[in-house]
Amino acid sequence: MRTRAQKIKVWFLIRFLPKLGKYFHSFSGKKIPNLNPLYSVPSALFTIILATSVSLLLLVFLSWVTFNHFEEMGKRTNDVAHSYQIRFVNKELIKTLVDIETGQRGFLLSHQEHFLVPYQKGLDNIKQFQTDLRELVRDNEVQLKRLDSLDIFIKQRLIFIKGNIARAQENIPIDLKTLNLGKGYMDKIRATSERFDQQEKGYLDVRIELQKSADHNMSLYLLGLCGLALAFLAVFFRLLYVELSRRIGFQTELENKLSELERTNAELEQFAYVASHDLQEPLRKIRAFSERLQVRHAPQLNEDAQNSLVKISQSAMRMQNLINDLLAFSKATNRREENFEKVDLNNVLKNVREELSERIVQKNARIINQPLPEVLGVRSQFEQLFTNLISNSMKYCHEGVAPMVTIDYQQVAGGEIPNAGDLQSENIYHRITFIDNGIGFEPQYAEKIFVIFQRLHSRNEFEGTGIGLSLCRRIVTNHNGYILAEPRQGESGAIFHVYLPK
Amino acid sequence: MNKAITILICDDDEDDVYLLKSVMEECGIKNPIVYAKNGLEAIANLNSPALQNRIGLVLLDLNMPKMDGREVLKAVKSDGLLRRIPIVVLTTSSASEDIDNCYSMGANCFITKPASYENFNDTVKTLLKFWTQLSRLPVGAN
Repeated sequence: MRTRAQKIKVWFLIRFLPKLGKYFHSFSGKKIPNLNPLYSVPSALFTIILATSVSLLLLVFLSWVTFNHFEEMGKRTNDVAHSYQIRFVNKELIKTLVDIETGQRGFLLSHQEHFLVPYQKGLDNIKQFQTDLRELVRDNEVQLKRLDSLDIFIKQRLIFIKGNIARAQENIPIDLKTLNLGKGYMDKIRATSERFDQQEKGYLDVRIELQKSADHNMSLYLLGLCGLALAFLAVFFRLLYVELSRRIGFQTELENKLSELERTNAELEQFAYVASHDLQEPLRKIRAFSERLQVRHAPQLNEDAQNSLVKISQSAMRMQNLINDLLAFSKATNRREENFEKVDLNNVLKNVREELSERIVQKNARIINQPLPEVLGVRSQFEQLFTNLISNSMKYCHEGVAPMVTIDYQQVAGGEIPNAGDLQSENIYHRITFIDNGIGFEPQYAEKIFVIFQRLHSRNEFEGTGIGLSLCRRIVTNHNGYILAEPRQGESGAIFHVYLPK
Repeated sequence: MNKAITILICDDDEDDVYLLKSVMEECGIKNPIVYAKNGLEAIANLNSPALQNRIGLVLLDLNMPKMDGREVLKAVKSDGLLRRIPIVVLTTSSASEDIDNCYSMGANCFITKPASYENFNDTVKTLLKFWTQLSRLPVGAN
């Protein structure tokens, strides 16, 4: 046994200690949270679940073993008590017989009736003791046989005693022969009873010994199990501790990065705003002075100079538009969700229609829409988004074809959004689709058109700053949504899908 | 046009002053013009005995050194005598806070400095006319 236990111990040391060491390593070492996103969270979770299950199983097993042990112990205690009881009743039987003999002896000597009181009492009790004893050892053949002979001897012995007393009552002298015969039976009774008792004493000793060793073994066993359970709990705790510190590390890191990001964003926004604002001032003067030149000194300027002045004005105007768009772009950043309000997109569309009414009439454009939802967000940003998308559709139209914009609305699951990842697959999104009959674009530019300052056409073909659609994307992203573009299948035109969380 | 009315232009930007002057000349506004580079000079001009009761219109920039346009506006509009002088705030700002703030302090007009001065003349003419009519009211009618 011992060698096997030793082997197991050695095996355990070889097999598990290095792994345990890994868990306990960071107790002393510095805790650097593992920021590698590839660190497998499922495996950490699996280990924790495994450790918990093993600990729980051990606890259940421990409880079961303890319960069993107490059951056993109760049974053994009963057995021991049983043996004691048998021995006690056996002794009482002999004592009663001795009482009967004593009563007889006294009467024989004195012929006085009151000596017969213990005799009578003994006769009354002895039967009961005999029955009790038989009942107590009823499952033991050997002891029952002994009781059989004991009963016969007792019967004989009592016959002799009764005979002796009857003679004495009739004043017949004591017969020594019967006395000796009676004593012989009594000796047999004592011997049988002694053997009976010895047998029971043997049983008792065995039972006591068993109980002692069982108690001892069980204590060691329970101690071992407790130790094992504790060890598992310690490992389990360690796992949880490591996992938790790792997560706290992540969280702190994330919070720091977030606040840093917010600060940088705020600075950038401020910078863009100030830069755009201050850039406008000299530009305004360039435009104003060129206008002065044109108005006041037109007669002195030749055609070339006039053309140059027109170019200056146009460039300044374009820069003005760029700055205005940049300003709008910088203002659309970093909107906090706490500023969000309920915005009825039907209302937004109505305002945008009014704002664009001049161009709509001029282009003879048609805008058809389905009833739109109410969403959470910043109203002005939604107005900007709708303005940009609709005016884009009106701008990039075929020469001589009246622009037509259809605005479709549907609710979709997050899983249906292309390239959105799995994270939002369970959420419901509003999908607002803008479909136009304009010039559209090649499919490979579907993403490029959202990049700031990216343009698919030269300025000669279409005016623009290259900010409009990137501003759209920024606005939608601010509202935790997605915007995607695709060319129309089979006919000319573009489709823009705006997904906003419900 | 009432030639007696003097226009006070209060702006620290010489380019803008030049542009304003040029535009007004072009429109045939021949009123005398006085200039102030900051709020202090503007207040001094408004209270100067030589110009007393002659300044009938103030074109006021907001952002200036020493004393800015807001302070001038506040001072003029809380002065029992000067408060009747129309003030046109002429600034680069187009922020709604500035617009609201100026009107609440009693500005008569708020104009964001334009890149094109074509329509600007009309505003100036309208205000001058307003002042001409007001000056015909009996004294003390404020």
